Amino acid sequence: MITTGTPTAPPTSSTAPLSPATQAAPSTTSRHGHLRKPSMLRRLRIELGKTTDTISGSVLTAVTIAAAPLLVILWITTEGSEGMTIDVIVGAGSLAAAFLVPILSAIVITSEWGQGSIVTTFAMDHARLKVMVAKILAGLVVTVVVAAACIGSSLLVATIAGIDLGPARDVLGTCLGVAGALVLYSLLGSAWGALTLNTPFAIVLALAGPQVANTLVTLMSDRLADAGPWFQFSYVVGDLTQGAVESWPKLVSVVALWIVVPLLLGLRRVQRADIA
Amino acid sequence: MITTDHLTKSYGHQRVVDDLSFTAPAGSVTAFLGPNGAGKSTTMRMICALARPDSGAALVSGRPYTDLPHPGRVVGQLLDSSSLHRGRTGAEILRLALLTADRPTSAGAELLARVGLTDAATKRVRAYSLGMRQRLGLAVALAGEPEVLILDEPFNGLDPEGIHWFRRVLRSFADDGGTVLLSSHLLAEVEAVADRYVVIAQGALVTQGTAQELLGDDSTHADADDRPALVSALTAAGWAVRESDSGVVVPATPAEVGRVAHAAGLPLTHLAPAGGGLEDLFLQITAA
Repeated sequence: MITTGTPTAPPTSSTAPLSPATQAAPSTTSRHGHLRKPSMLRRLRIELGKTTDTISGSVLTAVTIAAAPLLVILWITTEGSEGMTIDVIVGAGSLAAAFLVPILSAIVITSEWGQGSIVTTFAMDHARLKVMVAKILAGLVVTVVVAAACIGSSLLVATIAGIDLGPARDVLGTCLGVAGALVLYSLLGSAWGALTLNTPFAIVLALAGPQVANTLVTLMSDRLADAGPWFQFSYVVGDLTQGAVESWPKLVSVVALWIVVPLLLGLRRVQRADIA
Repeated sequence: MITTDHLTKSYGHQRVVDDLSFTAPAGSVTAFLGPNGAGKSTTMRMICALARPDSGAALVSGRPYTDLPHPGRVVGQLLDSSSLHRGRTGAEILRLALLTADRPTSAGAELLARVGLTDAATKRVRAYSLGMRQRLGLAVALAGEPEVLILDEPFNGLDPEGIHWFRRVLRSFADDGGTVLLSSHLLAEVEAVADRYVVIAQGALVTQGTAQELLGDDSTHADADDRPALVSALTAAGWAVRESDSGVVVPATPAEVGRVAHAAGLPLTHLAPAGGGLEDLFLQITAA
């Protein structure tokens, strides 16, 4: 309950409180014929605004970025700076990001369903697929910012600690690999967000799904375990964070299974669903 | 203007909207009436392309909703005040609506002032009362300077003063050439502002028209201690009598009804023109 925010009496002095823009006879063609359709850039700007204007969105982003240098410092102080390599440093710095980026991207997609505000969003912009693409892009933009901040602060801490990071080429390769892995994590969250349209389900499936699948496969049989890299998300991500892609076909297979398929199923559902 | 053309929709085996055709013309407030569960909300969602009809179509300003180049600038909707994001502030929700409608976000403060929410602008919506949410919902609906307003039970949670103010907003919007389609399950709420009525029950159209058209020019509401006797007397006099909980409605002048009652020796307990009392007609129609 709030007391100060109780609506005051509406303006009684105003004789024409609100009026439609049409002063003459309303005519869609004359008044709205010149209207620009909403552009993708505008949609992205709106969805980015929605991502960061709630407590959950802004706090998650801030925590993820703030955690990076702390994690690297923790790693160096417990393990010692001897023998530290670039992939260990950046890996430590992006640990929180790898966990929180899929959550954040899932929330970007699902939060409007949980809150019901998707009704207004789709009523004001009936190009549902474009709105969804804008939400996925918004998740990616935040991810790229988070990745840059986490990787940058990790490198900074390592440099201050006097750690030899090795040749610049390796540093760049590792940084790009980690950034690529975070982008995949973002898409993972978006895809399961689009499929479930439910924040808790999306987070659980995006975070635990690949792990559970790994465990099940390993338990089931050795032969299946050999085929694991073809559908284990952690496998390709592990590869990427080392700064290399060992097998592009396996990467494509994993991305198709964990990202493309749920995403397409989810978008199809959104396109067809009655929004209530 | 809004028109629906043989709109039909089923959920499972339940037909929620049944061959519904009606018109809400520009420059007027059309009340969309029916008991709870009559299919009003589903119809409004179909008009806004949020739900897909099984058959039939709805046009807004002469076009299907999905053909409107920029629906946020043509239609303002308040379909569910609980659909405002509870984690955002009122000002932020309005800013996003203005952005979506391609309007300057500087218009937000003025809109908030107009719906009486200036003091609550920086509070998150979870702290709003239902009435405040309805006000914010109206501000969002007006953000795109629309020519059509589609409002589902907008008076819910408003105090009498709020309802009175809301009606004035709608009146002025319609008087300036806008189209208002306004649903309610309570006739008394909309009677003061509606120019036209569309009444549905179980998804199907019961009747539509102006109050005069629906009641006839000379309708009288009357009652007597011995109501059955009054009904018989009026029927014997050749009038088509509609009976309700609170009396009878007769397509005759009060003088004519009075004469019949006097001739039959029946003391009347009530005798008045029925023009202002659509309630009985509404109850009678929707009870069928």
